Amino acid sequence: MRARLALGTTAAALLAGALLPTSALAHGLVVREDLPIPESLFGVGAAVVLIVSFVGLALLWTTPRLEDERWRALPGGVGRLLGAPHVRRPLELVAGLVGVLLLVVVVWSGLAGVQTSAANFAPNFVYVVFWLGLVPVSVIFGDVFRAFNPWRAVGRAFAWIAGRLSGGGLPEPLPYPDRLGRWPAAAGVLAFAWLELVADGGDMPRTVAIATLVYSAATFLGMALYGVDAWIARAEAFSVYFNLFSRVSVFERRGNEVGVRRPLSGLSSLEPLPGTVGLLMVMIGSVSFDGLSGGQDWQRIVPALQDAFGALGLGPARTLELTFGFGLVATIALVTAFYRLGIAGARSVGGRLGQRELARAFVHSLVPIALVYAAAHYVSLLVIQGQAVGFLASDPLGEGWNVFGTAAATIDYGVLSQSAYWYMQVGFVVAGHMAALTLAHDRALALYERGRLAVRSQYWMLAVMVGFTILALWLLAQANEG
Amino acid sequence: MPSRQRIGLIAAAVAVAAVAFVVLRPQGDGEEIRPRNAPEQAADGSTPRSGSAAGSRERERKPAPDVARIKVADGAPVGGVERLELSKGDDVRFEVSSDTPEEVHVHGYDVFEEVAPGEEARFDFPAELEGIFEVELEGSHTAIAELRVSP
Repeated sequence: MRARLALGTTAAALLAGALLPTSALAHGLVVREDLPIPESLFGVGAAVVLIVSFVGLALLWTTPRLEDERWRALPGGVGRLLGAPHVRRPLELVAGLVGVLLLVVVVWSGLAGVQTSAANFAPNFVYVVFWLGLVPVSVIFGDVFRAFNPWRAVGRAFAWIAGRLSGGGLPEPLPYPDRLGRWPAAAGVLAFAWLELVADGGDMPRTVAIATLVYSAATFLGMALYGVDAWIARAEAFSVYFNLFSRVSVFERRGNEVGVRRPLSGLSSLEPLPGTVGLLMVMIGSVSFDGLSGGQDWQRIVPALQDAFGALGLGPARTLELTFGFGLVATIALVTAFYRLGIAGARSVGGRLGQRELARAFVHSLVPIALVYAAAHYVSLLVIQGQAVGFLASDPLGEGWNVFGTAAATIDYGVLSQSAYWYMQVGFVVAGHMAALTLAHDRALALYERGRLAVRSQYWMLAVMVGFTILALWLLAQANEG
Repeated sequence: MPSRQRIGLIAAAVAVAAVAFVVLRPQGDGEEIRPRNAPEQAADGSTPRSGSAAGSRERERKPAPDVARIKVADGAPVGGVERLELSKGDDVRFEVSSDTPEEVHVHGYDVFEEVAPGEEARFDFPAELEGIFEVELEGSHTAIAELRVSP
């Protein structure tokens, strides 16, 4: 997009230089970008997806397998040890303290530290270590963030102290409105994406700190009104976000034991509350927009959009924000329309389920898709920029400290080759496609009493999955193409 | 599902695979995903090809093409942000001239050179890191070129 604008007058070029570095994804943090995946790899990825889909259809199993709650404790007493209250509670306490400490360091370094995003702990930690790093951790180990969640820890501590002081006379929290469902979480993730991809200076340390404070205040208010557990389970954006991904993990605690479940079966037990579809659409749409906004097609329409929004007379920075904000919302709307279309198709085969029920019934199968969108898109950023924690831990404010003696550490930009990222990206996308297909088919079998209807509804869901997967590959092939 | 149908679907899958392979078969650019071996690279002795998107595909040796020159006027690159496309192991060679004193920073590689009116900044370093890196005027945070190093 920079090149595009620079073609204009020198004034326009100056403007571009002044405005654009802050408009792309936390731009100060993205030093190295991936080259687009080669056409050949795109072709191979697409072909594998189609073959997997057809073979999947051909070898359909006829009874649902993922809907059961099968689970067994880790052997050798390990599960009992890890889940035992006298082990789990102190661990959770320590994790909660670590979470609160990190929250404080983020706010403090963001407000008091050097205002260069790459040299400050706050943006690096929030956008890379926390937002990207917790995704693989959740997928492998389960819902780890629940223990580290600083807002939950503070809320519980506060409730405990207040309960002690008032002698158990605390008023009961309001019942959490059913209609609210996961909508607050969807709004939270959208706000985060806006800050990351749209807001002017969204990667600046002070902005990150202030956003963290505002979000903390909103979360404390929500917990005060509706109770800590209800708010964390459904409304707190990051809890809900990482919990979705943790459902891919085989590890789950039940009662006082930690055990393993069937892969993906954690997703089948996702309760389709209102707002869940909205949340998934925001997740898939925002990553799509991040890929799209690095490519040529978007750059071609940016000037026209800027002209249109410029007519509002808000000044160049706000106009650019509006342009990108429009792009983000429009991408989410397109993704939503596509999913709705597939659902409408699935409904047309018959059966007693309405449009809304069907949309919710299959929403869990979108979680692997949202996961691989994020994984394929951000793996290189996590691998590379994640290394910044090495020196930022010693010097969070960027002022030349050396607390742990690691301040001299640097980032190795060549730690993995571009080819390695390409194979990982395509591998993730194909694996996510297979998982989504499996979940959708399994759900169809559970929903439709007659196998034939299940199969016919599956053609539509298959089209949705293939569409999302090809879109993911296409985004990877055209990212940074401009 | 009857087994005939099942076999039909598998056959269809294989057919799709075959068609997809033929249609999408890499034409020459397949080598892009394979790292080239080093000795060939050294013999190649290629220099940065600037601007041309097809540059990375035409691997014919040009007799020492001109070093890319980037001209900065009024704090912005003349002619827009130039692409420097090369392969890993090539030499990154380019020059920057500017009508104002500035510092030029190649991100990722973290190479810095001063530039001033009449004094060009000259860069010459091996392309060891793959990916897309920005070349920026450090003072004004203006992008002047994009370094694209393919495997």
